[in-house]
Amino acid sequence: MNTNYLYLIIFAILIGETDIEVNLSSIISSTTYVTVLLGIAATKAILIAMYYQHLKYEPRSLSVWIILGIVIASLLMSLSFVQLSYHSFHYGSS
Amino acid sequence: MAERLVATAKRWLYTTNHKDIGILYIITSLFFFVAAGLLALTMRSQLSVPNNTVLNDEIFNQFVTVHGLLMIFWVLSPFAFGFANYIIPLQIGARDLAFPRLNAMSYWFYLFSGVMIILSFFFGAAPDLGWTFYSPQTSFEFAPTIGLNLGAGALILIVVSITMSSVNFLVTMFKMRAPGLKLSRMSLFPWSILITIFMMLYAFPSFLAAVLLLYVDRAFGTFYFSSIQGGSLLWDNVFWFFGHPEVYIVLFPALGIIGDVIPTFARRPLYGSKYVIGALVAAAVISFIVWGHHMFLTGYGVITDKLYTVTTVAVSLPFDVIVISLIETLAMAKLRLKAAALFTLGAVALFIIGGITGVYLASVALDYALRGTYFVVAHFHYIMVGGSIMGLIGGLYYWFPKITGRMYNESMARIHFVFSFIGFNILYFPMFLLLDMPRRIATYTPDTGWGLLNFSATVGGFIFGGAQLLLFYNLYRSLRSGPPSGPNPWNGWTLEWALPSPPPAHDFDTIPTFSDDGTIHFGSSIGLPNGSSHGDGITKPDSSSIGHGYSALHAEGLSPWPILMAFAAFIFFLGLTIGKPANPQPVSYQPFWPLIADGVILGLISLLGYSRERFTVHEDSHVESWPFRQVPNMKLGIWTFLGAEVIFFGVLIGAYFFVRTAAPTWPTPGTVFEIRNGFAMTLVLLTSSLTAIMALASGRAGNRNGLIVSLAGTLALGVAFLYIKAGEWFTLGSGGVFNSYPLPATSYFITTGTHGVHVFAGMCMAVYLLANAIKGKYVNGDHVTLEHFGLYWHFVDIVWVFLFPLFYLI
Repeated sequence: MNTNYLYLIIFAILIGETDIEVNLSSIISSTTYVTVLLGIAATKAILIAMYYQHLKYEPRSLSVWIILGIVIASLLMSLSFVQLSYHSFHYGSS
Repeated sequence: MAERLVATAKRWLYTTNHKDIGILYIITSLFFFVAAGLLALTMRSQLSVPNNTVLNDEIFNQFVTVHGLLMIFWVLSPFAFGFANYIIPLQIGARDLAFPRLNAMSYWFYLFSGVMIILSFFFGAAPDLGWTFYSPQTSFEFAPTIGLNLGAGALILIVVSITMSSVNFLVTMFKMRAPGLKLSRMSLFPWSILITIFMMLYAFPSFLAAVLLLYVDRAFGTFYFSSIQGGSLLWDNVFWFFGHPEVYIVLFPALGIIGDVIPTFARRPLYGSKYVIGALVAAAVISFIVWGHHMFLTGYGVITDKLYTVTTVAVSLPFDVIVISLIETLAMAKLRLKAAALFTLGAVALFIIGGITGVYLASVALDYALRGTYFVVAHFHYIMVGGSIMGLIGGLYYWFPKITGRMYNESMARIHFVFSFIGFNILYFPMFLLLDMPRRIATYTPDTGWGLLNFSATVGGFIFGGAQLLLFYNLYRSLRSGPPSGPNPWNGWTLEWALPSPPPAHDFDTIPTFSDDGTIHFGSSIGLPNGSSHGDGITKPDSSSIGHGYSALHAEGLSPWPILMAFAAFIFFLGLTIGKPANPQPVSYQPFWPLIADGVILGLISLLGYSRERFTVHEDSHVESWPFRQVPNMKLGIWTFLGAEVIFFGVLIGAYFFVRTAAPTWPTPGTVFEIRNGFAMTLVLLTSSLTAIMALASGRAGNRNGLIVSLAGTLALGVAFLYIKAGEWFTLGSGGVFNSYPLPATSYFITTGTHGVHVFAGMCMAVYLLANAIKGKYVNGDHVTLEHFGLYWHFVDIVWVFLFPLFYLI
């Protein structure tokens, strides 16, 4: 496939996903809303990284390198939340 | 005479050579070592007897804080990275670091950041709340002076320096090793630096995000750390996520030096070296999941307490492997007790004491009792001064002959060791016994019974401090009149000892090759240093002209832009910081605009000069570059930088989640931040990603018009994004959003503001690319710059992809 067409298809998917994000609140319940939104954002990020940043065509070591960074950032956030859940009594709600 | 003076000044101010920069790092870090040491001795004088009045409470607190900051950020790591700069390229067979000008910029950012922290004494007061900057003590209510702002600004600058340095070393060590030098064949020092860089790359962006939040809170009156939903708990998490790995960041290079020095003087290879490297890797990984043990007192529950107790005990185990390996290396060895060996052996002994006393603090019960006492002070000084500084001084004696070409006075160096070791223990061991004395108190009463132990510590402090005068005198005298050292005075095995002392500017005439049996082969051609021009007059350096033949070659590889860019950043932050807060709640801030404007103008000029300068870097082919063999140096550098950016934005987003989860209420979507604005900005930015990738496609295809239109489109969409963003900011700001929704506004303005700065930086790049594209560049197979720009621009887009739902849709 001509790469320019590929870029346009990716662009169309990204716009479509953004449209879904905006209109999603009226379709699904609020409890799963955040998870679904973050999931869609993650797929958009992966598409941009894979095709616009060409990560799909780079050596696997580079992808591992980037994923490592994301794992560590996620680790920090998730462990902080573990702690926060124990501190909820300080704030009255969480 | 004047001409020679100018040439010398130019060499040191404009140099990009890794050896010069290494020397600059070592000298500057020793200067800060003296400064921090003088602060410490003044504090010890104050504490020598009860009810002393040498320092009042305020000055004492400032001295404690700046002493800690200087030692941790401006002495320990920079001292180690002075050696890393000088030695690592020599040990791995590289001509220089991958990005020489970036390396120079790292140094100048480091220097100016240090100047800024010292300047804080002259602007009201220096930071005075301990190096940990615990919240809410950092709020204007408790710390109303500008000094803390300057401290935070200095920390931002030094983290920028460290990030640039990390990227540079990582690319160098992965991509520029001599043929045959597999990672598994590297000695312990380069391994320790490689692992340290990994930790820096993941820990420091977290710290940068934390300090940025603090800086904005203080400079612009936002509410991350002054709110109960963020406050102390948020700071504790983001700070200690960085803070605990930082202990290993300052320790590992010293362990690496010890692992190179002891085998040299024991005449035996390091016992179980692969296990030692494995232990360092294990300790580095575990160090990222132990930060909670600094927060036992915050009361986060039994399960989390247990988790962190287990990980804290676990992180001590790899160090057991390292110590056992060193002991096995020494067993039955005919050790030559030169000063370098003495200092490294002393460092191991002191590190063992510091390490064991650290394990006590993994126990929640003991931590409750010992937290904030002098026991903890003794513990971490045994690690950081005993293990790290003593090891680094061992490295200084070890490599001094290589760097200067001259031998130091061995007898004086041994006396230096004896007084240092005895003084150290008289200074710090009594602190283990001061179990009930709180740290950071300016004085105490006689009935506490702390007088004798404190007096002893003060005597030890002066012995230890006085001993360092011997070091400086010895090195100064030896530099001027020490006997020539020859290339390999210690019969060392690593590659740097195969070169003349000091080595030539370009390091190697030809890149050496490592055989499977460990032998090193050299060619015989003439090497070229990096630089802007290469005349015909380059000759092989004369190794007999110690210390002088070297400088003659240094007309090459000079660039004025690194120092100018660092200076621009320095005055920009100074201008942002030294304005006075007019109204404390919320702070109405008055920056000093002339300095800010100067910083911006100088920054833009130097950025332009930097990008237009013809500066060639010689990349040798056929080098060892696993695991990134097919990735060019620049691309790996950019991806590594983006990896650090992932952590940085991850922490900013984490801070948003943190306060949002803790907040009792949050505005519903659409009530404060208009969904249509967010949607419009998302469309604009996604479209700009399409035009950016089309620019690359046009460049590849040689389509000049397509390239210009695509780049102009990217730029226009960037402008449109910032225009919508600015409109939104203005509307929200003038509508009093900080009064109505302080915490949502804080997280929104800081996170989207930081993202906006990234968009603006991308637009500056786009302007530069567009100007070049109009001149006809990038369509003749030279489109790689477009690809690099795209990597950055798409990353900025990805960040927004997450910010849009977080701030506008939930």
